[in-house]
Amino acid sequence: MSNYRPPPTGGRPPRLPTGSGRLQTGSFRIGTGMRPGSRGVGGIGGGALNSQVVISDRPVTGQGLGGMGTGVKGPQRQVQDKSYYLGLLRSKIGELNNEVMKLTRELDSLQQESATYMTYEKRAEVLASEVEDLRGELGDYNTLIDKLNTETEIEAIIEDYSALCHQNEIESRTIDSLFAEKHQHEIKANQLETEIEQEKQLTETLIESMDEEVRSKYHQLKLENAQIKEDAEQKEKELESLTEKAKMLKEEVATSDLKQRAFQLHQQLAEVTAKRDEWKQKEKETPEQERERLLKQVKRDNQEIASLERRSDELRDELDKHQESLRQTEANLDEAQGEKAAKIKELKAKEDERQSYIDSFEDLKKAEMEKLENLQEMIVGVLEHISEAIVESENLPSVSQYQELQEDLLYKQEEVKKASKTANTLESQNAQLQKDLHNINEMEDKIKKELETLKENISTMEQEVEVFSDLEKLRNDQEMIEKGLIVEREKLAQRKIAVKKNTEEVQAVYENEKAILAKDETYTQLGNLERKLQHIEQNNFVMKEFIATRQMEGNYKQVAERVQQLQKDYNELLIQAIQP
Amino acid sequence: MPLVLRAKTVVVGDPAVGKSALIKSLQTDGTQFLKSYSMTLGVDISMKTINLKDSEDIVELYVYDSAGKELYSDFVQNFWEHPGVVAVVFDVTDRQSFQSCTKWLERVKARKAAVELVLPGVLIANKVDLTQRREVTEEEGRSFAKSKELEYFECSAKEQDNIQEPFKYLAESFHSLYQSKANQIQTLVLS
Ligand SMILES: Nc1nc2c(ncn2[C@@H]2O[C@H](COP(=O)(O)OP(=O)(O)OP(=O)(O)O)[C@@H](O)[C@H]2O)c(=O)[nH]1
Ligand SMILES: [Mg+2]
Repeated sequence: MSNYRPPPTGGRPPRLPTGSGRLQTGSFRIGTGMRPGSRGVGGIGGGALNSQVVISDRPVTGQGLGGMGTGVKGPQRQVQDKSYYLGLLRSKIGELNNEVMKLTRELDSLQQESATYMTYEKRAEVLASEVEDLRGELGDYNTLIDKLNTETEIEAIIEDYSALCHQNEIESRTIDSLFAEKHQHEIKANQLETEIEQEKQLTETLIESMDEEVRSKYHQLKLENAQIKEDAEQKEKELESLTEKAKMLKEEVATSDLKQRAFQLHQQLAEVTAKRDEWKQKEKETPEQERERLLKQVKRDNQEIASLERRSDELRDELDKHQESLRQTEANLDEAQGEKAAKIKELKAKEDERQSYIDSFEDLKKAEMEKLENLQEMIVGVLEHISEAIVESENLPSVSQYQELQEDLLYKQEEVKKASKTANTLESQNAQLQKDLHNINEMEDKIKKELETLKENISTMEQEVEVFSDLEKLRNDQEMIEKGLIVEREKLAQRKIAVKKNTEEVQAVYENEKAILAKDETYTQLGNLERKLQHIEQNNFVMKEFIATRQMEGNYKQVAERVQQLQKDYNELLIQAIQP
Repeated sequence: MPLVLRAKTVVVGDPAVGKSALIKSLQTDGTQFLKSYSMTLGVDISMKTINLKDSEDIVELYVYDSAGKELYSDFVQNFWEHPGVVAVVFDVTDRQSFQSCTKWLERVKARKAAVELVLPGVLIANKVDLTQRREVTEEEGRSFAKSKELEYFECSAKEQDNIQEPFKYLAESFHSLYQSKANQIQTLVLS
């Protein structure tokens, strides 16, 4: 509210002196009005001088006849690449070297650290054992403290101690005895080993020291053993060949139904006879013998089963292998067939092309023939044209003449070009010159004007010279004025002092009054009341504004006027309608 | 050296027509507007420097924002001794304030020195932004101003519209009056 004007009442009184001060400045203002007179003379002189400078400075050739300035070349290259890049490389190399040095230093330090680590490890081991010892000691102390805390008698402790000592002794003795036992066992083991060794040597010596007979028998037996092994192998081979033969025969049998049937019957017969024999034998056999036989048979059967299983496994593996190879060969076959198919397709496409060409051959031929006819006609036409031209050519100038004429033409064309060029240049020159002329005319006007002003100046100056030539008088006048001014100045200085005093007095009075006023109760009361009034007025204004805006909102005057107008119009229309 | 002229500018008008608001806008180049009404107590003095159009001289307007409240009438008039220029303000939404203009002008003119023949002045029609509530038309204002030899300006302190112009006009006319006076004195001295 009153924030905009901080000293509304308190700030008012000091304005009085400034108000009265204005009077003096007003009179002073009029005094300075003397200036324009002296200013006028100086102004004219200055103007003339300025204009003179303008004339001499006017650049006549600058009006378009000046030559062209050479253009300024662009800025030079600032980077010399080779050296620049070399420098760059060098700096990079330096950086890399620094890096390498740094890394080697780091490596050294790491190695040293690892060496120290070893020693530290050793130290750590030592320290660990020490720690262990100390821990044991600590345990002792702890138990001691325990004992102290439980307040056991010293005698009991001593008893305990002696008991423990005793036990300790016994245990150490048993350990000693165990150690001795272990030692004895070791010795025994050594003895046994040496004995075995001796035994081995003994057998060797025995063999060597045997009689001739025994030794030969030993060798013979060895040989026999080898022979039997060989025999077994041979027998196996024989068996194989026989089974093969059987297979062959079986296959042979399989080809004819009759034979097969005979074979089956044979087999049956064999089996049956075998059974019969068996039964016969069985009849002879005692139960023990029978059991033995059956056991044997079971064993044999088991062995056979195992061998058969092994064989079946082998066969299965073989089958897998064969299937694999079969698959591979199939894949190879597929590839080969794909290539062939592509070739066939190509060939077929070619054949199709050929067929279509053959089909369309007739049409093409027709078209070509037509073309040929057209061309022939054209040739005839051209020939006719040429013959006509030949007839005409007799009337034309000779080749040399023609050349001359052409040269002439060229020369003339060039001439025309030159002429147009000169015309252009002349035109532009004309324009330039016209511009120059215009400028010069303007300048002439200006110069004339300046001349006039200069003449005026000269006349005024002459007058002034007359005035100034009477130096005596001038000097006197000057002195008079000066004296007058000095007197005035003194007067004013005195007045100034007086005024200053006066103001001081007034100021003092003012201050005094202000102090009195500030003490006065009614003054402060008045101030308060004033503020109250201000506040009330503000509220008043706000209310008024509010009322006005509300009135605006509820203003039906315009609407009413409009309604009345409409009614009037309507009535008029009605009257018009009723009147015949 | 350019001259500096000082003109005592008395601003008068009925309460709440927007004198203080106008002067505030003038001082702040239209950046501030006194929205809430705070009645002026006595006279508020402020200074506004005006650069002239056709001269290098400067006019300093010492603006005497006088309270419009009739209660302060006698008190306020003490400050108007030798007015340089006058600005009478009225509110276009308040016909009463327009009718009071004659009274205000007479009061100011009574304070001018006897030797002064003319007192340059302007009639300012304020609050033209409130077009709907307007009661005093522009024609009325113009013809009244003409009859009192005042220059007429329509403005709005709220919309910052046409506020500098009346004061510029006052400065210009004060300056030209000063120059004509100076010329007169010169001719008198020379003859
Ligand atoms: N709408 C609108 N309101 C205005 C305008 N100028 C002033 N006002 C408002 O009118 C009210 C009066 O403003 P003042 O400038 O303090 O009135 P004043 O003339 O100084 O009044 P006194 O100091 O009592 O003489 C304030 O609330 C202003 O906001 C205007 O141009 N348009
Ligand atoms: Mg005010």
